[in-house]
Amino acid sequence: MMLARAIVGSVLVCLGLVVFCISLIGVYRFRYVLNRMHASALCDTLGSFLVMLGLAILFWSVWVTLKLACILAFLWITGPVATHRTTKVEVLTDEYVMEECEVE
Amino acid sequence: MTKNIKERWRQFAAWVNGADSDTPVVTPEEKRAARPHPLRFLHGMLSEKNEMRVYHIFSVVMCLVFTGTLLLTVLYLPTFGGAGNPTENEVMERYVEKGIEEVGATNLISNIILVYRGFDTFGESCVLFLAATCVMILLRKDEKNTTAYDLAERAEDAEIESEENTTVLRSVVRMLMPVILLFGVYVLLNGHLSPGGGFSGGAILGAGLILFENAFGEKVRRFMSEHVYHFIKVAALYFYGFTMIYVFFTGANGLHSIIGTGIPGMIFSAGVIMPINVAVGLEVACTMYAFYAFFSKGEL
Repeated sequence: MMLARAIVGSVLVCLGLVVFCISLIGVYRFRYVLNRMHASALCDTLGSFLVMLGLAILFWSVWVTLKLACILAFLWITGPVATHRTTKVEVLTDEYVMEECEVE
Repeated sequence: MTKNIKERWRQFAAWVNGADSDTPVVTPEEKRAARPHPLRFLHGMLSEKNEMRVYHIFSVVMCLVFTGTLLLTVLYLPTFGGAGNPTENEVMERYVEKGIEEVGATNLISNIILVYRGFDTFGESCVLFLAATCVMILLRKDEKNTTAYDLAERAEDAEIESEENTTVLRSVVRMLMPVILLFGVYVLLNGHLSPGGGFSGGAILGAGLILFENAFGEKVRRFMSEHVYHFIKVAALYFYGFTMIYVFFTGANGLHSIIGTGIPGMIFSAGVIMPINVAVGLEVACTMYAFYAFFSKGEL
């Protein structure tokens, strides 16, 4: 049981790190700001979710799980808003945004 | 006549630089290019491509070695809160063993930074004050140094911060703001009981204020005017200074202090630590907010 928990938790944390790496590659790989924002928003949600889930399984305690859930809720509320705000400012200030992609 | 002189001068310069001689002219740029780069140890031993590959592998290996060393060091650190943790020397021993008895805070760190080394922390608060003052001197905008460009920029900012462009941010901030401010106040007031204290609590409060300013610019600027800012900052610093003088005077002369240590663990305990934490927290929050305001708008 202990071992199975440790393995599952570690695998989840590693998966989360893989997601972080993918989004990091995306940030460097894409050429335009909006694409990059899209890539970086990936780690805010899925990456942090996987890492928190892995940590909750590793620690296996009610209070730790609750605290991690609070942190995750905070990240899930604030992360997309931050991404949205940055993107919005880019769309509002960039005169040539229509040349890169279609924006409403 | 002048043309003649110029012409001659040019000839002379060319002659000095080696024109008309048998050896070819070498400019400094060419010389520099011919010399191997000081960091390229393998210059000439491998082909260009292989050389770059060796450097890439070397840099990755170096990063891995450093990361591994740091992680290994973490393994050898004493466990958090372990009974056998090393007490480094007699000063540390005194802090750890007599701290609660003498000062009364269960958070030993705040015993050390606010009472045993309170003068040092007072200096840090003064540094914050000075930094905010310098930023104010350098970046402040008033009618004398506001150009048309600044006005245009400000109008653009107002457009970005207008109501229809910040709907999402406003609704989320309305939800999060009480939580953030409450957490900041909690960290401030519990500085002598749990991890936290003036600097971290003030940073949380300041960050919350900045977030609030981003969403509801006008509302924050209405209560955080320059007047209020100066009053809070100066009052907090004066309060800290006079409290520290009192503590040092009574402590150094063995006088009876009317501010007792109380029961360790209670919220009203540890004498002057909690009020000082509040003063430091207000100072830090004001400084952070002022930095943000001066860098973004040039005024509070």
